[in-house]
Amino acid sequence: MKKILVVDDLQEVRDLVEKTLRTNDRVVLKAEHGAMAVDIAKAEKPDLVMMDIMMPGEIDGLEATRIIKSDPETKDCIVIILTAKGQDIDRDAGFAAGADGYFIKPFSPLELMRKVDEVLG
Amino acid sequence: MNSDETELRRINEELERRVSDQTAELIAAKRQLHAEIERCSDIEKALEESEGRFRTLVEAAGDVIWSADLNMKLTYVSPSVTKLLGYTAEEMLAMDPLVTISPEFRERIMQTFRNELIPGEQAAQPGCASKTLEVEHRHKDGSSVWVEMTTTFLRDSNGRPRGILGISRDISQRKRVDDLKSDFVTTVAHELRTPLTSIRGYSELLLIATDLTPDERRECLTHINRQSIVMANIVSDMLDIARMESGKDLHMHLTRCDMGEQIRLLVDNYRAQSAVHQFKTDLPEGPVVLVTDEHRMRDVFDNLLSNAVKYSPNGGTIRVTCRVLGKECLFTVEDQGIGMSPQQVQRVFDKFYRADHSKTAIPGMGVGMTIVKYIIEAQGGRVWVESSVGKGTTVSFTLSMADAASHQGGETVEENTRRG
Repeated sequence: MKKILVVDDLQEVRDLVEKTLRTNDRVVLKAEHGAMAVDIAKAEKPDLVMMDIMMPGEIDGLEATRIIKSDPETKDCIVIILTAKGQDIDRDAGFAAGADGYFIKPFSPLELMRKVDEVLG
Repeated sequence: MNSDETELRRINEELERRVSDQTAELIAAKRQLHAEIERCSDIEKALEESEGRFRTLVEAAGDVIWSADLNMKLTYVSPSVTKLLGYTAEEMLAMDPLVTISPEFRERIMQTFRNELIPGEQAAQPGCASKTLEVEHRHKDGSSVWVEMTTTFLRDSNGRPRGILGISRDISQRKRVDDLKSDFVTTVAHELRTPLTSIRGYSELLLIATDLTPDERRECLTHINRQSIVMANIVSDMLDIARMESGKDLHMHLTRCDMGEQIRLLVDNYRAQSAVHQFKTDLPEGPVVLVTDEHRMRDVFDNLLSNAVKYSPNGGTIRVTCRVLGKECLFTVEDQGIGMSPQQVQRVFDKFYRADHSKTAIPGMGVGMTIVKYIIEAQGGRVWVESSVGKGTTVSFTLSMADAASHQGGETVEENTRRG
């Protein structure tokens, strides 16, 4: 069983990503803000984190990515950012935070499916 | 003897004639001189008048008019410089004016002038070689001032540059609006991405996913439908703003309607969507009949309620009240959210202004309150905001009650009026 953590402040988007990525051999966990994502990542050690950037609270998606990628316990999680921030400078910031991939909203579920199949093997 | 006498008389007469001629000449010369002096003094007076006129023009001009020598040392600067940069004209004349220009622009200006000073080319067309640059200055108080600087070279009769004549205009306001506009475009693009994410995502999912239950399919369609309405609202907000920008009035479609009923329906809607907020209404028992644009008033309450929800992320009570005060009706929408500072309250009705500086988690285009104010004022009402950081915000507005005498009960007032 592969574990996927979906992080987004909008339930509608969390559900969309869940429906897009769920298969019989995957478990989908969900978090609605950065701090919650960090806690779940630490406790559950997911194989993949789908991370939104702009979320309410102290820790946004970039900071959460940085924390997950710098903690020896969680640094092996693959983090793919899924955000409405679509400029080059945002993408650079995402990769600088340690992200392994970057998807821009609105996204194609089919493309996301393929990308995730590829990284989860 | 006779002939001697005759000769003497002739000489005498000749002398008298000459003296009289010369006297006449002298008198004529004196008159001419007088006329000349008068003419000169007229010219001098005209010159003085003309200079006075130009001086008044230059000194009254809102733009700063200045002249400098070729080393950029000021030789004149009009008094309006004080309003622009905080320094008096005397201070400016005594200092290096380049000091008031932001460092990154100093070199650019000097370069422009140096190019101009290459002999030959420009001399052929004196007067027409004016240059306009946008330059950032530093006000005496340290703040940034954007200036549009137009300069022309003063040239001698051989076309050689003698000095620089310049006009500096304050364009800080225009720059601020430009910045807000480009922020606005970014914000709108971002605001459209959010509903588009659902529309594109759920529709593609419906096309490719084979494992969706009928309930899930219905759920996907509901998201698509709801988000397309969100997008339609964004578009209509933008059109309203464009209409307000161009100075046109909003189209008001006035009918008699019960605002109490409208508020109850809308609040029920919000209650169903949020689990962390308690929605309370405090409305008069009977119907609250107003002659108003029902659709636009729904927009007003929608804006106020969605703000109340957005800006109280930790929940709390959101209360909508309506009180009849004589011929007016007072509405309030109150939340217990994050509130605003007095500075934020001051700008709350500015278009494109958003109270959350992060521009991150809280969605919105910064036009909702601008539109609210516009709709209320178009109906002769007033709107104001009270807020305190950490305690919450109350938005209040008034509308006049339907005049029972002029509109008999139940009758529909259908007027397509444009009100200012």
